[in-house]
Amino acid sequence: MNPFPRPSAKSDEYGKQPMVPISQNSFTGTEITFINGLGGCPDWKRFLYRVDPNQIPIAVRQNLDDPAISLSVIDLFPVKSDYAIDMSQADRLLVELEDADDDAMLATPVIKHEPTLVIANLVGPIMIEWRTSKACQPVLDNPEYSVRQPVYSETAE
Amino acid sequence: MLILTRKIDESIVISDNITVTVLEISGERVKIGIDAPRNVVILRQELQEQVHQENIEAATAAADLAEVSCRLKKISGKDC
Repeated sequence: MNPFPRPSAKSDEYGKQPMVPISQNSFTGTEITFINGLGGCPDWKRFLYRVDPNQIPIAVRQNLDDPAISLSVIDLFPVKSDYAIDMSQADRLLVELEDADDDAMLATPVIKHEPTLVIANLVGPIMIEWRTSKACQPVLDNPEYSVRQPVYSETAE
Repeated sequence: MLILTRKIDESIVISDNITVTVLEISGERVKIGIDAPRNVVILRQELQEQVHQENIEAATAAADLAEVSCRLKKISGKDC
């Protein structure tokens, strides 16, 4: 069961609910394991996924083996509502994905300050199967998706 | 690195169950076809490198998450 149920993109409440899955244990965090590490970073495997109520809609993945590695994530549907992930059979087997409703789809944004800019990586989303706490980062070969999709910039406001 | 020379419509076989065939050569472009099991991940290398670079940048980017959170809330019509 998904401990971080997220709002449905088809819901009337879409956009009004928190963009990051939340549960009672979000602040202390849930350990997730990337079986093959992150894309290009095979040693980055064990992360603590947690949500600070003061930082919603951002969640944080803290590497448990290297405290210097921390990546922030956001739910990507508010970024691109028609986003679709065609996971390969290899990736599905990797995280033991069984139920399509049981997973969470997150984007890893690169956050810059000068100028204020938030960019999401839509080519390499984060897929988490909460039932097994296993995760992977599939690489999507879709020309419509960018590794630097603007989420927010000063000029976009 | 193993280097093989192939002509159009010729193939190489990897591990009995992966076949790579040269389909077309046009100028500097080579079109190849790959037959592989569904559980084999096949990627263009530049995509994998882009994701790698973004992961490195995301892990090292210093940011005030509370401030960014506030801006994202405004995008979705919420008060900060």
